[in-house]
Amino acid sequence: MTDVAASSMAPRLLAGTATGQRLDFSQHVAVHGPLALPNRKGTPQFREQILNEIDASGLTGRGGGGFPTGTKLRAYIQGHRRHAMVINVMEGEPAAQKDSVLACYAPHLILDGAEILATIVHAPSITVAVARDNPAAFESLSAAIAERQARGKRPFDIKVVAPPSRYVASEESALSHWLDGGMSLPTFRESKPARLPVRGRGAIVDNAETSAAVALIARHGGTWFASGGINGAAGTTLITIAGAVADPGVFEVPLGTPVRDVLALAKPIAAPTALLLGGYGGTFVGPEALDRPYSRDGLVDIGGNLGAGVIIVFNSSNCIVAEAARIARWMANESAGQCGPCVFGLPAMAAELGKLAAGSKDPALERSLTNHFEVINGRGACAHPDGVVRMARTALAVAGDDVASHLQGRPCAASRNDTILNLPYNEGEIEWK
Amino acid sequence: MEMRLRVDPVACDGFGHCAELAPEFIALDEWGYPILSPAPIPKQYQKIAEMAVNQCPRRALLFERLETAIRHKPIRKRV
Amino acid sequence: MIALTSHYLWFTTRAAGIVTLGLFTIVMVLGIMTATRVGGKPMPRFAVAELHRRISLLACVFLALHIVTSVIDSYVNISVFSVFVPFTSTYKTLWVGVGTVSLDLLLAVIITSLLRTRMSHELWRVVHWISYLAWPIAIIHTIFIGTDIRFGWMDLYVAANVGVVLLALIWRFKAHPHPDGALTAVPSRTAPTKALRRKTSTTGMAPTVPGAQAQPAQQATQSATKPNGSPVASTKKKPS
Repeated sequence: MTDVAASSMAPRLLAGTATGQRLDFSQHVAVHGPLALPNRKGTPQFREQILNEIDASGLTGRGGGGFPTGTKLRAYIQGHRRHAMVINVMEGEPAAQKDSVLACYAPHLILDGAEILATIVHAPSITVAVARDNPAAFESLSAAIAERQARGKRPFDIKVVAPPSRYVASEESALSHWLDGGMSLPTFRESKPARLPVRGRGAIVDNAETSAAVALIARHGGTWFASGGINGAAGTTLITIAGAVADPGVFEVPLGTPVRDVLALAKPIAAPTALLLGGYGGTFVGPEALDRPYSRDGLVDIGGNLGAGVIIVFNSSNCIVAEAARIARWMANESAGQCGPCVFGLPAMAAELGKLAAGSKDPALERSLTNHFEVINGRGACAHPDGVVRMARTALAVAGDDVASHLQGRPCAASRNDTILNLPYNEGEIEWK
Repeated sequence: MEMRLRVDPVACDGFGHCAELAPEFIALDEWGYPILSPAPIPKQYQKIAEMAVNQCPRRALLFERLETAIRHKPIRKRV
Repeated sequence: MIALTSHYLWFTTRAAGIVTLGLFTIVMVLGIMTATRVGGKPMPRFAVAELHRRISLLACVFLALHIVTSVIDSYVNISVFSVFVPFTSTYKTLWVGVGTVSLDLLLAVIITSLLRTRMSHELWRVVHWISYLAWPIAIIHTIFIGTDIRFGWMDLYVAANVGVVLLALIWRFKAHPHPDGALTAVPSRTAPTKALRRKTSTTGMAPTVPGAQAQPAQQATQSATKPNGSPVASTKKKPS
């Protein structure tokens, strides 16, 4: 059930969805209020006003980048003359479901945000990208566009497209490459911030939740949005909680909520011994994270970052090393196959983690693994291999004593348990176009 | 003008010519792909670096201007 | 006197032609060796590539000699025009023409290679593949122009040239299945949409075949419990 953290805060992004029903256009307006976009003359002031509100809100990218949205928008406007707006609902991370939930329950919030963003950046068209294996989200968004058009709201040309649903296909350069007619593979970008050419225009790619947040900020203001957070953090966010929990799902929580309270919403089966934050390319943290506020500042010094708003919960009946090995294998299969260190490095790392998980007395194993972490990190065109390295490194750090016994050829009993992870089958033919 | 080397990992196919020409600042990992020194190229190796960039069979090796790299805008120098 | 110089010109044309063929055969083999990343201690890989480049220029010198002497020689009637435009020579129209075709193709390869660093890499590469056409056409020109093929040793020589390149090709595709590595996804609207081939490692280590690695526990594709009521599917489905 989509739910809100136990606080006095009413749901914002997920407002009106508690009944488990999709909000059509009139329900959307009833819940959130109407939104009027300015006419051509009013646009420059509107743009300045909205950008200020977004800055005040403290909104950061909700797709994993965590970059301040206002700054990103301003830089984009300055750096480009011809614009294209892309909303990323791809959600390549199998553990994450927040964007799908938004798309299926509150699509108009995403579309409102898209229109506002397109107004700000002067993009004549909006492309909404939904993963090909997510027909529910695709249909919900298509229907929402049709509803808007039926009411004569037609300020922008919006269309929904369905790129292939591989993990790296949701990365912004892979997405814009596909939109530009190529395969959904990340490209080498010589400069940062990268130029993402889509049919002759430089594209800006924003996450679905970021877009929905913008829709709320436009109605209620930046200060209001920021007030959704506690313990010094700004705003609310959607989190997908999975793993060893009784009630997994997507939850809206104020940023800054203690992690323990966040997890309580999903009812962990037993006391958590480790959490995987951010997704399969994210960070493992130990139980010390439970008392930290769930926010970037709250977790940064234990190495955690929020990523795509995913928390996977592990307890003592899970072997972190074995789970990390499975993730590494899965992620190795998701490699775009373009860069040597990733194509060869990730399977090598996965093999070594597998050996470690099975228990190994090989004295060179640990050194070889650490060496691979050094060598593979940062040498691909995209951040995919970096994520796997980060996940594996932190897994070994959190597993600590377990690793020592695995290295003595005595794997823990938990390593023989089934996985609690959602790892869709990905060993077959690769579809990239 | 301080320059350093950078590789386009998508274009690179692990031929290894660069590491043969300039072992002082290009090494190969166990799979044959280059590991580049992030330091600026010393003056006496400038010619060798240019040769390595020219000779790359996939034109994957690039020069990057150091001070602009700090502002994150490397230039693909055509030698 | 004129008849004598004419003889030397004619001999030079034939000799230069024979040498040119041999040199370009060596160039082809060196090119194949460059692509298959042959090289190590005595001869580093970049040296193989460099040798490939330099011998091709040497071969061009002999080719120029072969062409120039055939033009200025009054014994055979070949104009400058027919050097570049195929099938316009009055002497052995067809087979000189074949030679001209080979030359035109070769010129495309040579010129693009001289300008390699100033042009698009993809274009250079596509044009460079034309050498696999230029060389056999040169062989055909050699055999059928008939001048020296009546000598037994010439038979052997051409057979040796062809044999060497064929062997190198067989070796390239058998011993090194994908020497060029995976198709790089360079933005290109004509890029094929088939599944990406895996790169081969230059050290000969093949990438681990997905799924072949024994895992400590089964790789269960256990679907995550969906958020209650959420229509989000966790199995892959095609959009209707």
